[in-house]
Amino acid sequence: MKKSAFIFFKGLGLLFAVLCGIGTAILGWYDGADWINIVSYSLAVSALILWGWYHFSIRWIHGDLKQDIFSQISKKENIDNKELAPEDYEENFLLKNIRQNRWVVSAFILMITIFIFISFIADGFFSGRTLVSFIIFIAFIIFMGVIGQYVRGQKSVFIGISVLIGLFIIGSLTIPGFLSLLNMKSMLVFAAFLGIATVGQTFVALLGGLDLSIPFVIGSSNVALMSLITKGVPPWLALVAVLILGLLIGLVNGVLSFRLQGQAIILTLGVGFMVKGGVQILVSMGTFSAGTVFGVVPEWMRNLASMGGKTVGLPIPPVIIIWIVISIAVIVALRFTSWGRHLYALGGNRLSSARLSISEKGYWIGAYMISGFFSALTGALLLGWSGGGYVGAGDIYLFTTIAAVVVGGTSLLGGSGGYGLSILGVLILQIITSVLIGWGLSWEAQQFILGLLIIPMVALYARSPHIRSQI
Amino acid sequence: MELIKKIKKTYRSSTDHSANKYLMVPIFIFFALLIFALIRSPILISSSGIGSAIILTSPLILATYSLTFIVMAGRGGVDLSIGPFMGFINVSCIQLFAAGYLQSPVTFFVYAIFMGMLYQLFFALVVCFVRVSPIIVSLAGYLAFVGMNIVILPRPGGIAPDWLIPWGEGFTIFNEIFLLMILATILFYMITHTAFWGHLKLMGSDERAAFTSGVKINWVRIVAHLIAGIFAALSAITFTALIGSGDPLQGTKYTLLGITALVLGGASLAGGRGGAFGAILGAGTLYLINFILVTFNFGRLQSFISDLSYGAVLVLALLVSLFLPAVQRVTKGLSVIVFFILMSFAGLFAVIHGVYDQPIIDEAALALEKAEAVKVYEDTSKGERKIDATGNIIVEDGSSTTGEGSSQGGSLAGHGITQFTETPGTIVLYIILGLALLAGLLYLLTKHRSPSIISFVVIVVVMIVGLIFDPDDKKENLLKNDNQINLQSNQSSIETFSPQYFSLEKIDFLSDISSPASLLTSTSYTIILAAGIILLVSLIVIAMLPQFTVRAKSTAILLFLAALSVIILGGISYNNLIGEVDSSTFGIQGYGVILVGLLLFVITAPFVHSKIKNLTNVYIFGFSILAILAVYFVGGNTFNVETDVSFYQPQIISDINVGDLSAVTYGEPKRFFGESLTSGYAQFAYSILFVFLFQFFTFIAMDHKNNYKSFSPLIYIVIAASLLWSVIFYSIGYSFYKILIVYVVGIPITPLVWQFMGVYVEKLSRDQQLSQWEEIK
Repeated sequence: MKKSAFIFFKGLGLLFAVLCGIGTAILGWYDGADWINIVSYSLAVSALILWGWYHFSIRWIHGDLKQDIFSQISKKENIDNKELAPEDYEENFLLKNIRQNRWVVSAFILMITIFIFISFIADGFFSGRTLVSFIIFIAFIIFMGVIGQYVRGQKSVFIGISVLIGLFIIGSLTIPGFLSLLNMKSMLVFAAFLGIATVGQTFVALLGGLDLSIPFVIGSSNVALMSLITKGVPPWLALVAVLILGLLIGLVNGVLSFRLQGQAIILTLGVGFMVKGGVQILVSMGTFSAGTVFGVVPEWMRNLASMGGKTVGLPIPPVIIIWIVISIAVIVALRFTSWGRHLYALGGNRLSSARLSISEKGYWIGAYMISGFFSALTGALLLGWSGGGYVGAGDIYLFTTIAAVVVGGTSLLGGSGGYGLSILGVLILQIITSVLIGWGLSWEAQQFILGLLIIPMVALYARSPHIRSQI
Repeated sequence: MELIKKIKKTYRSSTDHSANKYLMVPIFIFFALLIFALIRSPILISSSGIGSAIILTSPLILATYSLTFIVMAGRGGVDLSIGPFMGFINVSCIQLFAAGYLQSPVTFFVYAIFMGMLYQLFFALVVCFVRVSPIIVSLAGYLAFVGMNIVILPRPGGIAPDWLIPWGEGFTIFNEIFLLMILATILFYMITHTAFWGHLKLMGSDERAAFTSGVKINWVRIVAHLIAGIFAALSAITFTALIGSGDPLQGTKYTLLGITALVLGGASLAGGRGGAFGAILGAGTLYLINFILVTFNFGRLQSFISDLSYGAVLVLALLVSLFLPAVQRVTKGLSVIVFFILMSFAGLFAVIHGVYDQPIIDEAALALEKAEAVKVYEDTSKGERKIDATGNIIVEDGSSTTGEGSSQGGSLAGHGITQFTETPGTIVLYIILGLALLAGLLYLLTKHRSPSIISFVVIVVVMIVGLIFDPDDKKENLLKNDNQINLQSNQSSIETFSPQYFSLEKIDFLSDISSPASLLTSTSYTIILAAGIILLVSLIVIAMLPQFTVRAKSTAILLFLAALSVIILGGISYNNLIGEVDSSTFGIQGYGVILVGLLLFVITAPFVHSKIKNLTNVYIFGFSILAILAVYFVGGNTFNVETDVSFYQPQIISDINVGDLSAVTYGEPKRFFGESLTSGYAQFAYSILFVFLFQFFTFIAMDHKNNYKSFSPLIYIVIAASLLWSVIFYSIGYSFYKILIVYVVGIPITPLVWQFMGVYVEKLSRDQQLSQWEEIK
């Protein structure tokens, strides 16, 4: 049964892959797609299915063969298998293997069930395009699961990237025009805003805190900048003033919350309210507008963030370039400077970093100041994008910055993660949002799905250890 | 007997409140704000004011209960999704009701509670077994419910069930929502007396320790979440009653409000610290902040300033918690319950002050004023001047008319006081307070059975009985009139007249003794006078002389307290109609004195390391009343009748959400007294007296450890206290520079005086020892 089962499964897999490939081709033809696409997708589908099937059938066969193929698998496991092996395998190896991988199998069954369910309840959902993209998606997950076994160390990066690619595949398959240059550009612009706002949150999270004042600072700097410009202050000076204001707010946050680190989340929220209220009072004094400021944004500032902006002649909005530069700088600062390493040390263990004479206070306040600075910068850039000051401009960033950090895989307890991961989180969130918009979902449905997706995404890699292993 | 003692001991240890020291700060903030709010606008304590406060705060309180359980469970978990989840229950109930389900109240409640528990069960299972940080789960829930609510009910609308809508009207104190709140609070307290609560606290403060000591942490967490689900469901139901319809967006606000209330109530977001009492205080504080803000007129800036002050209060409340260890150290031995009772006395006096204090009108001055400045007077009190049920003056004219309901079932701030009601809620409340004091008397009687106590209780009973059967009110004696005692048929008359039962202000000593009808009354009045004066004087003497035994002092104190309760009853009954003001013997000064005296006491209380048995507190209380008496008489005297006719009492806006507040001006409070006290020398003399007495109380409070060293760690209490006092004094009309002078003089020389007194006491004891020695020789 050993060898025969192996061959049987191999054959079955081949058959299945070919059938799926043919099905894909037929459906693609039915959808009226380009013949190049049909061929390439069919080939991709059958190859992926074959690969996945091959992998699983290999995993399910007897240990002897397994050992030859997967030399990486540790010896202990093999010994266990051998001890248990003979009678179980002989009886019903399929059931046993399903039992061994029951979570994976049940997850797949769940996904397929959900797919069928949605196909039944939603009109027009079931089409060749969605079916193919679903199959490709599953195949991709299997593929990544297999690859993931060889990945050591930066596991969360790997998962993040694979989720990103998976989402990208879904998007490009299901939404016409998803891959167009315009869409890419707009996604990147929005991601840049979120990404710049997330810099501070990442720094703060690395120390184990959270900064909820970010949306309020964004909104306030947005309004304050507009107000300053309308009052005749030179735009560059106004920008500098707003950035300094952001730094100061961060300073206040840091100083006040230093002794209240457990409750920093609420304290920053309170500071945020104060900033929002205070700035609005200042801005609306002597004017008739309450909360919203209208005015003319200078051309260079508009160019900075608008979709049609140009960087040195290239049709790339400068905000993307700014984001990239900031990202590189932040990653370098975190990884290669002593300042960055100390930040990690503090986040990991306060006591031992105190033994290394790292000043906790300085780093804590510094992280919050960075957060305030980048929030103010985001607010200023958003002004260029929207063209009018609005204090609610930052409201969507209240939870999305945290979500980006969390989805990226930076631990909220501090000490692990980094801005690279946050970039991943930002991109993932952005692509999810774009895909949901592309599917024609309303804002509330987007929120709903985003909420439901966060738990599984975090559960993929940001699970905390069991209490037993913490003692 | 042994067994009973044992049980008592364990019970006491289980309800030991020494761990609740964190409540000191919330209590203090709450009452400070309450007093300020009452000074700003006494409308708060009309029956509709209290009713709307209850209906407005009850969703918040219940949401905070729910949050408390989840926060208590630790892991930094704050349920961010509570607000949208309340909104979810709200909109789903409304939609199901509209679709013909959930018609009976029972199914309504069952559905809401079931959904609450279901969601929280899911939450707990994810936290326990998927092991994702709770804050992320709640964040996900937040986003999901925000979306789902709008899908279920795209815009505000729908109608709550018929039985639910009257719950949210909030014109009376004792309505269904109040009952629900009380039941929920009882449930909370029942839970706190179980072993589960202990496990929860342990788990919240140290999960590893809990695990290693055998607590089944997963079960504890799941149960905590289930309970939180019940409270969240109740909160959603009260919320539905409040808005009377479905609203997918309003509920979301309760996330931030609830967390703020939680923090203001002193709970630790790190877990392991929190309780129902703190939750109520926190929610009340939030309501008061909102209330105070509404009494100011900021026009367009209103919402910004409200943002600003919410944030500021949040930050301040958190920063204050930094000083918690210091507070705990200083208040070592002072029971939280005692502190609360004392603060609530202060609050009660502020209530009385706010409701019943009217400007004292000198008839002659008024006549003069009318003659000279009729026009001005008519401007200020144009229209019909009415006294409403609770004694507030309402000026009704075209521009700032009261009671136009602008928001039936509308926004959070807008809901509420739309009219003065005619229900007897306020009176019932006061009667309950009076009865509680009587119950306290009876308790003393049973606890300390001694001749003096018994005789005093007899005196009190005689006085009260005599007052109730006031012959002046014979014609309208409501107790004998069945039609009028029926609250339904004629509520307003009861409201107006029932306080007169305890009337003290009509005292006209011994003048009516010739008339046989008023013999009983006159006698009881005389007894009041005699008893009051004798008690007070004897108390002072006993307290001041060290030769008396502790027992004698405590008896005197109890007597004094009892007399005080009578005075309170008198104060409550001071339903001061304009025409009868000048016949009162217990006017604004009296209340002001009691109020400020209590504040003084509250401040000095932490100096005394005492429990309720230690009566040093009460000595200080008595003394402070005397001291403030002096100060108040000095300070109040800044009013010039002939030039200024505006009154102390601000005109009151009855509708909180009224659009144009600019018609109302809040001036500096002013009042006037007799001419004799205006001289500068008298003021100076009283200031000196005050400073001296201030020194003396602190001297006693320090328990003879009178040196710089024991003073220095306490100085910031004095400073904080003086700041608070200054605000209160200022608001009741004391000019600022005088306050400043008193403190500038008073505080720095305090240690010096203590030093001096300490030397004097030592000299006394040395003299005594010497004389003893000589006797022996």
